[in-house]
Amino acid sequence: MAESSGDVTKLLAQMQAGRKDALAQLLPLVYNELRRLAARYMQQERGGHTLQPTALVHEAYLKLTHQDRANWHNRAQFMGVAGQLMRRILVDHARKRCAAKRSGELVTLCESAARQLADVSRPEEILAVHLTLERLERLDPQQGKLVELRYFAGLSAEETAEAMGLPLRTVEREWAAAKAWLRAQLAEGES
Amino acid sequence: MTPERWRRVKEIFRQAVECRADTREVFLADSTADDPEVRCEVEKMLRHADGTGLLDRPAWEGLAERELEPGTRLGPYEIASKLGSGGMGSVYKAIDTRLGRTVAIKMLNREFTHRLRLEGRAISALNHPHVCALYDIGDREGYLVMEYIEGESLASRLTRGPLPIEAVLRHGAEIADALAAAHRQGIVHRDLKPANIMITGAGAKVLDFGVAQIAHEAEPAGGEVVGTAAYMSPSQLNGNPADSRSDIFALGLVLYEMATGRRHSWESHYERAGAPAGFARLLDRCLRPDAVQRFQSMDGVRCALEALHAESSGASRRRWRAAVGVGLLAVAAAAAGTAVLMSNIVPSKRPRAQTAAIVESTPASPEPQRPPAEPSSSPRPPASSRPAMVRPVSFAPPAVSTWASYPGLKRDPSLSPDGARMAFSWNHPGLGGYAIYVQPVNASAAPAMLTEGRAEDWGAAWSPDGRRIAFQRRTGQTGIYYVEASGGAPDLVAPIARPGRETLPQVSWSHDGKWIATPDRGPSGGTQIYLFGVDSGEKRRLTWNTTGTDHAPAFSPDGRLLAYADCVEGVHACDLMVVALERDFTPKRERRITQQGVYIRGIAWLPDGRGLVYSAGRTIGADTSLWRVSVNPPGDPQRIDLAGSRARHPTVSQTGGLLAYTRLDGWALMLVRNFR
Repeated sequence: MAESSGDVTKLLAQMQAGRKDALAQLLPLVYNELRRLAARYMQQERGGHTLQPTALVHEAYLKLTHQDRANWHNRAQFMGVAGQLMRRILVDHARKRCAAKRSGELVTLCESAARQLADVSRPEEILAVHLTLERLERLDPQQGKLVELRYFAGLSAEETAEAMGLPLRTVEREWAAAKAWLRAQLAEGES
Repeated sequence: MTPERWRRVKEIFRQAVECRADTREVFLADSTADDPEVRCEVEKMLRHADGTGLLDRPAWEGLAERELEPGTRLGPYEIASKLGSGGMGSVYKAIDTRLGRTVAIKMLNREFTHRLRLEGRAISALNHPHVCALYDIGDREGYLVMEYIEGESLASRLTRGPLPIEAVLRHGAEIADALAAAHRQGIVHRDLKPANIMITGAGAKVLDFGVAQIAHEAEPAGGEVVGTAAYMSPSQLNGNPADSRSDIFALGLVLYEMATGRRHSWESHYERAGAPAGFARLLDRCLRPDAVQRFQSMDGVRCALEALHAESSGASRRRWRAAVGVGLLAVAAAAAGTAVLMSNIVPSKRPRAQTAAIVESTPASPEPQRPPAEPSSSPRPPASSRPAMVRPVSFAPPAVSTWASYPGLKRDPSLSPDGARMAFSWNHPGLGGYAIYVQPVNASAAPAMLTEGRAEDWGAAWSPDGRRIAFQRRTGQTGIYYVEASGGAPDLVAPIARPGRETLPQVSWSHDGKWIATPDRGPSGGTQIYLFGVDSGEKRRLTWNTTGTDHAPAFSPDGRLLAYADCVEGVHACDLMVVALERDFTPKRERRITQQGVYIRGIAWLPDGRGLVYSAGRTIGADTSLWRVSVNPPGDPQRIDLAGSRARHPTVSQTGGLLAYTRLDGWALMLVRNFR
């Protein structure tokens, strides 16, 4: 299994060249690094000093590739991979939180007046978005990817455009439609 | 849904979003005529296309922070806004919806929630005007509910330079007084610094007993040093347990910074023109590196500061007389070294008589010549500074109960200033009229009848000394009367015109007991507020409403303000007014407190003299609720939900946290405990 930063750079280049197995090798590397960073992030519960999710991905990228100056093309691809992984990390985290809730530990936090505490209601929201997004992905994989990057990886519209190689206008339009559809599904259910 | 159909939905959605609202309908009808399912889907999306909400924040946001949005409910508290965040958590401004009171909620970050009870216990042991009060603890969710303090932190104030020396001494004495009270309870603050001190209209307030700890308890596990390094004493920095003398050291640093606007360093030399010579000596005695050579008790520091203050500012001496009185007593309790210092600067002026009460609560006076030094790392504050003035604050939430529901109508409850007794009007079914009664609040004694019960005696009001009850007699010889609370025949203070049916009978005593305020009909037709001299019978007009009614007068606890309801067209459409009074009770200026034009049925001051509780309904005949409004600083009225929608005639005790009112259902008297 590839471990070094050189491997990550090489794998990214291979991925770019169209080698499918490069992605399979890249995923666990990035995943481990992201999960480590994410765990640290979750523990850093200090108001005002919160790491931005994008910073997290950037940090993972720099760490894994040892590049001081980001190679923009590789970086965009890395973002694409990272979005997928961040989603997995977040969904796992949310499942754990809600499982803890079901087992009683967090009942009061999840269900009582404190329900609106941001860090408690978020897991439920994350799970709901994840499941609904799976349906959107079946209809439109590209749009699904876009939501993944915007929502799960926290990329801006510009960064998403860059990572997906799409015009900014398209990203904005697709995002608006996806957001309206997801909200409608989550609020009103399937028609 | 198929991918093809979804593409179509997206395209129609995109165009519909760009349509003007009035043409959208037509566009949708045209473009989806063949496929109602597509139309339905697009319409659903359009309903969710605008506004904010789900998916606006990336999934990561808020996972690590404990952020509360405005409007969030935490039990009875509703978050209004975020005030700031610190090392241990964030502080929010919130409303206690039960009492309509503005509070501060400190949400502790998860790793600090174990401190919750510690901090809670520390503050709850302190009931002091210069300590931020704790009202409640949210155990499970990890928050503290505290007094909302309007003001500026000393740290922020110091960015604009040093304070005038008068303010340094005055606030210094207040801070020392607060810490001395803490030390008496065996609590050391351990993190005193300008950021933990608020400067308010009512003086300094010490916050954040967050790292405070009961002095005789074990240090935190792992020997971790808690506090802010810049304000730690040398011995604290070396990892020795903090004791009361660490706070004395920190106070010295704070005083230095207040006076100079600069951080103290060991190279610092204190010189400031205008500061009394004793101040430099005082700083020196706070800042000795060796704890043994410092002041040995915070009472000693406070005493010295108060004396310097009295010495340096003749103008404000009067205000400080009482405080200096307390300080003088502390001289005896202070360490000998302090006593020597004090003997040079204690003013010769004798304090007023109020010392007697303090003496009672102070244990037998210790030897004035105690050995100068305490052992250098005593875990407890010096024994002489620990009198037993323990008055723990209850965490119990406010609770309402029916206090009196005897047959017949009860009205106009009035809590004695100490909250021990209640006076009220009751038309006992056997009597045919309303008499004034008095009854202990807590004991189950029967109400004692003070007047005959054939007239209509309404509007009972306690004198500030708790000895007399004034009231309005509205039949027969109409007028203002008072009766001794222990019984006896009523005395007529002054006759008044027969009041209009809707004019409230509310009367109020001035703080010195010399005047009674009540509405009376003026020569021009309207009803105004008048003052009647209790002994002289002298009548003075205070307000000037010529066509409507001014009623429900209420003197503030310090007698400097008088609140009343100013109504147009009889008693409809009223607003709260507050008139500032000169020392001789002539009106100075007036301020409108509300802009509601409502039907007001009673006004009472909060014990701190900075806000009012009043009963108001939208119109005459509509339900009346209790509201609370801040006068200083001005604020918006907040409904006291707890009291329901049929509440009138509020009265608040000066101590003891009681609110009573009349509930219109059955005209019962209701009592709210833990009202703060």
